[in-house]
Amino acid sequence: MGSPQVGADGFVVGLRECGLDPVVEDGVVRFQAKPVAGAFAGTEVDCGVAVEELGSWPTVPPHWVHLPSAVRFPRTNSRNSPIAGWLKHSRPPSGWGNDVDPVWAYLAHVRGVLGEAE
Amino acid sequence: MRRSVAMTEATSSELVDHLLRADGQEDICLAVYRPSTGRDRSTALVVDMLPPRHGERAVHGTATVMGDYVLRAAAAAAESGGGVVLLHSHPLGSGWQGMSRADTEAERSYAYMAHRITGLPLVGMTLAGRDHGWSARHWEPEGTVNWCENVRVVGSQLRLTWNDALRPPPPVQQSQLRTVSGWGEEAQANLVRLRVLVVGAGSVGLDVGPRLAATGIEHVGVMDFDSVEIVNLDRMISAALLDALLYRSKVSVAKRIMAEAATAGDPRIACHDQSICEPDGLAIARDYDVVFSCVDRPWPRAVLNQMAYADLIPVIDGGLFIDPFHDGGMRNATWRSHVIRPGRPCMACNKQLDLGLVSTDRDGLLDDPSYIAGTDEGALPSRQNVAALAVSVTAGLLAQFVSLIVAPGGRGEPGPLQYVLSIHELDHREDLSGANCIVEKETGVGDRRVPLTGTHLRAREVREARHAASKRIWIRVGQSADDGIYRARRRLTKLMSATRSTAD
Repeated sequence: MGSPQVGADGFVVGLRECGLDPVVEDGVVRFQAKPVAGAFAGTEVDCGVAVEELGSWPTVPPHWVHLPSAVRFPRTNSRNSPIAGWLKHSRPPSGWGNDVDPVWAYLAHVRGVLGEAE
Repeated sequence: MRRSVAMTEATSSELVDHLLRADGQEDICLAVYRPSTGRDRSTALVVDMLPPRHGERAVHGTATVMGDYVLRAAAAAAESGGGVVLLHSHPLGSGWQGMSRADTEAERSYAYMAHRITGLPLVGMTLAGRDHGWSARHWEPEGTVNWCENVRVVGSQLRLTWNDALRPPPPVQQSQLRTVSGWGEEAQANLVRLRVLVVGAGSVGLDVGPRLAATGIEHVGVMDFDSVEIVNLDRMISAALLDALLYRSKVSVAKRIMAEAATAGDPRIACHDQSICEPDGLAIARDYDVVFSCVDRPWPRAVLNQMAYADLIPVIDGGLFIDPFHDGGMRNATWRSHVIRPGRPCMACNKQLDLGLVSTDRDGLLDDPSYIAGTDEGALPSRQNVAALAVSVTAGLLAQFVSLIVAPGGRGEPGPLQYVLSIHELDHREDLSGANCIVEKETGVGDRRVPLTGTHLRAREVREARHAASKRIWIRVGQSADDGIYRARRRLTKLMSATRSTAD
């Protein structure tokens, strides 16, 4: 059997194939991303995606990006995250569905989101 | 459980090329199918032909398959979660084919082995050489045969071969003579036997459903969980203020209108009080041959979009986009129609679905005022709708449907069309499938699809609210009175029909 490509397991495997070291805590897949712009440019930032939001991965991407409260945006739609001291921000990826590697595409999306942080 | 087989035109052509020999002899081959399980219908989706290698079949006027070939096919099928299809040709046949004793014994002899290795029934298929019609059956492991209702080949035309024993062509009714004169009895017999589902009973769906019933289609279903509300009445033609006041479901209103419009001798109008986003709703949809998408939210559209490829059920979709000026007035309006199927771009590729918004919709946020207030206006689906223009979407969808089934002039559906109101131009859209389209990659996967359905909280809330309302005494009295008037009208129709028949 090959690696799972779908659901939360597929997402985690995909992150590992991208050289990241994801962990699942409090129902959230946590990983790090390094934006190239904005206040956190060049810095590894802790990020997360809820496992329950990954049931339809990769056909449907998650829209909540879980981030530490220290990551602030000038305008955002946020709710509490199950991780203490974090918030989840709604950032639906645009133009989804035609990427060679959905995990790379999602990481690019998260880096773009982080690039907007203050 | 009814049974069927479906495949793409490309797969059918590949099989036809192998099975119809230049020397006129019968031939045989094997293929892999994947199951697509509906509530009442099990479909085998033929996906991969496995051409015979040297010595794996013998052609001697008729054709014989060797055990090693069946074993190889069963192993390949099991590895991909599929089953085995055993196909042979009748070069001089046309239409649905019966089975000779020898053919029956050959298929039966492999039924147990194929099931043992794959866990799925062996599917037998016969190709009629004269008209390329397919016939099919599913074999239980102990050797019982279950004949299919039809075989569907999905291309620019949806080409069906019907098992007349299970689905005989219904007699043409006097009320259908003008319709039949438009395309002939053969096309009518094909069209009216289709099972057609309309998902969404709003401005477009409530208009499409009755026209399908009036055309004579026997099995028309409509699916919607929503209730008629006063704010819907400017778009829901044929729904009345009383329906809103009596907390009627949209499907109950649709069923009443469709039953009144139906011209079939024995119409079966089904109303499904489900959301296509619920597992039950999707299972029901897989029982149908063609589905109309008359919904505008990203989540249901994503489910229908996936079904068109994963289950090989053509989805006829369209929509209306109105572009108002911010200070009043209309800049433009456009309406589109297209058939979503393998060989055509999916809704995401032709930019009629934003897959990124599906999880937002699933979370109920597109109805959450606090979420909407915090989101850029342009990032959310637009809500404008006008009954006077929605009818153009209805017309577009029905024209695509007729092209797909009847193929006027031998041409099937035309691809995505867009009408631009401001300049009154009809465009053939050039949208192409993405090279890595995540939806079209799932063509023919059937039950092994990425799951998109789940608990639809809004559907549940709406049904519960309607149920609670129907317990109020004045609502119950009102519904009973309204139902009584409707039943009286139906009885009067039957009485007058009988009187007229006697008088004639």
